[in-house]
Amino acid sequence: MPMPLPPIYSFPPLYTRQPNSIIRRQQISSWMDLILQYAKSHNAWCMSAEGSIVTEGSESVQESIFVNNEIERSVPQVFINEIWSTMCQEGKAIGTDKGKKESPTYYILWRTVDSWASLILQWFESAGKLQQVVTIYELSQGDESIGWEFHGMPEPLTADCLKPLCHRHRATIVNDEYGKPVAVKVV
Amino acid sequence: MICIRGTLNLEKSLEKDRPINVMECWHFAETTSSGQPILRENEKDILIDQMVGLYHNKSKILNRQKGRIFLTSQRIVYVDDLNPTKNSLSLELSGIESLQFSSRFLRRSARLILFVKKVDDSQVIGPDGKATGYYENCISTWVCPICMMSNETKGEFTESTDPCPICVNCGVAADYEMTKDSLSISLSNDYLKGSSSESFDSKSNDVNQCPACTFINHYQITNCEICGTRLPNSKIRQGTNNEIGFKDSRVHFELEHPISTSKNVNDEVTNFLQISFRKSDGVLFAQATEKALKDLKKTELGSVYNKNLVSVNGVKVKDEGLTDLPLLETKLGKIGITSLEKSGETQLLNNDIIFNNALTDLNRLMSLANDIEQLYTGISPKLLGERKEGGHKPSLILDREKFYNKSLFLDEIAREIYEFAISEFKAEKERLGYVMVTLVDLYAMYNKCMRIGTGLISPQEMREACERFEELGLKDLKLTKINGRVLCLASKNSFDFVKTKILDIVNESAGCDPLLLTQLLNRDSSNAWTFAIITEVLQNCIDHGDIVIDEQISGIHYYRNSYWPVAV
Repeated sequence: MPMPLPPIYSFPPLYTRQPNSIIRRQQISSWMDLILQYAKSHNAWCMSAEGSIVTEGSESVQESIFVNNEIERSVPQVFINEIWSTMCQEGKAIGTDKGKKESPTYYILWRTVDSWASLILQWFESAGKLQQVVTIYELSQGDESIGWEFHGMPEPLTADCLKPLCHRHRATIVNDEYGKPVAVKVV
Repeated sequence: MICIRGTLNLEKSLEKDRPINVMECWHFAETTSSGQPILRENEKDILIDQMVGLYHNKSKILNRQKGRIFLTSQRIVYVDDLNPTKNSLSLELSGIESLQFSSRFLRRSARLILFVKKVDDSQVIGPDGKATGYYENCISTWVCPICMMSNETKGEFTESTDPCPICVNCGVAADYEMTKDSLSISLSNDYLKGSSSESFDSKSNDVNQCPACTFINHYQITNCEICGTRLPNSKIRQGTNNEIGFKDSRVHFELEHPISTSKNVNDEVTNFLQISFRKSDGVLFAQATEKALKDLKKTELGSVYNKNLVSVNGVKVKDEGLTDLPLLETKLGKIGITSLEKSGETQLLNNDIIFNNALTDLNRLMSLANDIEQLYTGISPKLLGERKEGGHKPSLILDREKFYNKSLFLDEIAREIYEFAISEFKAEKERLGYVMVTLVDLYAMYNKCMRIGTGLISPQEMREACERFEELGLKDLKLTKINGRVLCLASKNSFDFVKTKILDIVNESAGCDPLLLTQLLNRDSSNAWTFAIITEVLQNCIDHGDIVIDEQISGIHYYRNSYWPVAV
C-alpha cells in the first residue's frame, strides 16, 4: 500500500527552483526524500527522468512524481535534471546509461549500495549459499529471496550492489561471454 | 522719514533708557528644519555666502559666528549652521542706510559694514507734547508658567518690575525668568491712535496701505498680505515696531562685549553691523548687497501709486508725448492741390512723431538692458572662474543662481532635497513613522516638482547631495543601499519595519503575488510603499531565506519559508 506523500508535496514553492542557493540545497534534498519515499512505497526500482515509475516489461505511462495535479504545479525539466544529478552525486540514484551524465531512466537507491551489499551478504549467510555459485537472476528474482527487501531488484542494479563485496574480496562475479555479470560466488 | 523731532535732551534720556535700541534691527528669521530661510512672498534670493560671523558694532554676537548668509531682494538673512531654527537672524534691507566694505587684511577677515538707518527716538510724543514714558503705555503679554493662561499686564514687564504681575487665572505672581520666553510687549492700541494722529503729518499716512493693490494692512506688517508688495510706509512701522517697543521674544542674542550705556551716549551712536567673511573674500556679496540696496531704493522711488494710469474717468492723466505736440489736422479741410500737399505734410509729421516715440521707448529699453548687462558683467567673471573648476554648469535652485563652487551648491541642494522629501512624505511619516523611497523615484519627483525652470540636476548630483545629509546635520532621512544595489532615502529602521510587515502579510495570505502584497501593504495608506521598495524588500527576504517563491506563468507567488530552515 503506497504511503501518502508528506504535506510538503503540496507546498507550491517546492516546484519552483529557489533562487537562494542555501534554500535550494534543502529544496533538492526535500525532493530526494520524496522520490526515495515514493519509490520505496511503490516498490519501484527504476524511474524515468520525467519522474514516472518504470516497471520492466510494461510500458504503461504512469503519473509523474514531478507533476502535482492537485495544486496544478509541476517541476520544470531543467530543475528535474538538477535533482537527478544531485541524487546521482549523493549515491541515491544511478543512471541506467552508464558513463552518461543524463540518462532516460534512473535506478533509485533508497538504501545505499553498501547497505544493499551487506543485506545481500546477510542473505547468503542465512540461506547457506556461501561457497556456491548463485546466478544473479536467482538472487534477485528467485524464490529463495522472496521476502527480502532486495527481491525484484533489476539484474544490472544487483550486479552493481555486489561490487562492494567484490572489493572486500568476499565475492567473485562470473561474467558471460559478453562481459555481462550472470552469477556470483560469495565466500 | 521722521515727522516730529523732540528735544535733544529727550532723545538722550530715551537713549539712556534703552541703549540697545539698535539691536531691534535684527529680526528673527524663520527657517526650515533643514536650514533654509523661508522667503516671503515676492522675495527673491540673490546670493549665498558661507562661513560668516555677525558683529554688532564692534563686538561679536555670540553664537552667531558660523553660518550662511543669504542676500535676498528684501533682507539679509543669517542662518546659523549649528542651530538654524533658533539662532537665525534677518536684517531688512530697507533698514540699511549705507554699506562699506573692508577687504581682508593680514589675519583680519573681509568685512561688510552695514550702517543702520538711525531711528529717531523722538517720534513718540504723548498727547501733551511730551515724550511719555512709553513703558507705562504699553501692554505686556505673558504666558503663566503654571496654568498656561496668557495674561496682559499694563506696563513693560521686566526683571525689575515690582511687584510682579499676578496671573488672572491661578493668582500666582509671575516670575520674570520663567515667563521671559513668552513675553511680548506692544503698545496699547488707544495710545497708538492718539499719538499717531498727532505725530504724523496727515491722517492718510497712518494707514498701512499697499501701493500696488490698495489693501490696508496691519500697521506692523512689512509686506502686503494680499500681493506681497513691500509696503513703503515704513514710518508707521518703525513708529510702532522699533520705537514703541514691539519685541520679538524669539530674538535672543548676547554680545561679546555688551554695550555700556554711558559709552553709547558719548559715541553719539554709530549704529553699524558687520558681517565677517571667514572663508570667501566677500567682495561679491558686498557688491550684490550694494546693488540690492540701490535697486530697493530705485523701486521705492518708482513705486508710484497708480503708476501706469492713463486716464481717470476719461480724463487723461499724463499729458506728454503726443499730446504735447500741436494737434494735427488730418482731415482735408480744403479741396485742391494745396490741401493735398498740406495733408501730405501732416502725414509726414505724424509719422515723425510716432517714430520719435518709438525711439524713446527703445532707448528706455536699451538703458534697462544695460543695467542688466552691468549686473551680469559685475558678477559673471567670478562665476565663470569657479565654474571651470567644478566643471559644472551652474544650476539654479529656485532663484538661487550664484554659487561660488559646486560643493556649496550641493549643500544647498541637499537641504532642499531633504526638505522636499520630508514635506512630501509627511503624511506617511506621521502615520507610520517610517519613510522609504528609492532615489530614482525621489529624483524624478524632485526634478519634476522643484527643478523645472531652474535647471534639472543630474542623478550624480542628487546622490552626492544625499550623501551630505549627515554632514549637514539632517538626521531624519539617510541614504541607504538595500541589497547592495538600490539606493534609498529612508528613515531609521524603516527597512526592518517594512520587512516585518511584508513577512506578516505573506504569512497571513500565503501565495500572494506582488500586486496583492502591495495592495495589502498600502491598505490604509495610499502608496506609502512604492513597488520598487517592495520588490527590493522581497528580494532581501528571498536572499535571507525568509520567503520562498512559486514561479508560475501568472507571476511569482510568495510563501513563508516553513519547510527549509536556514542554517544559522
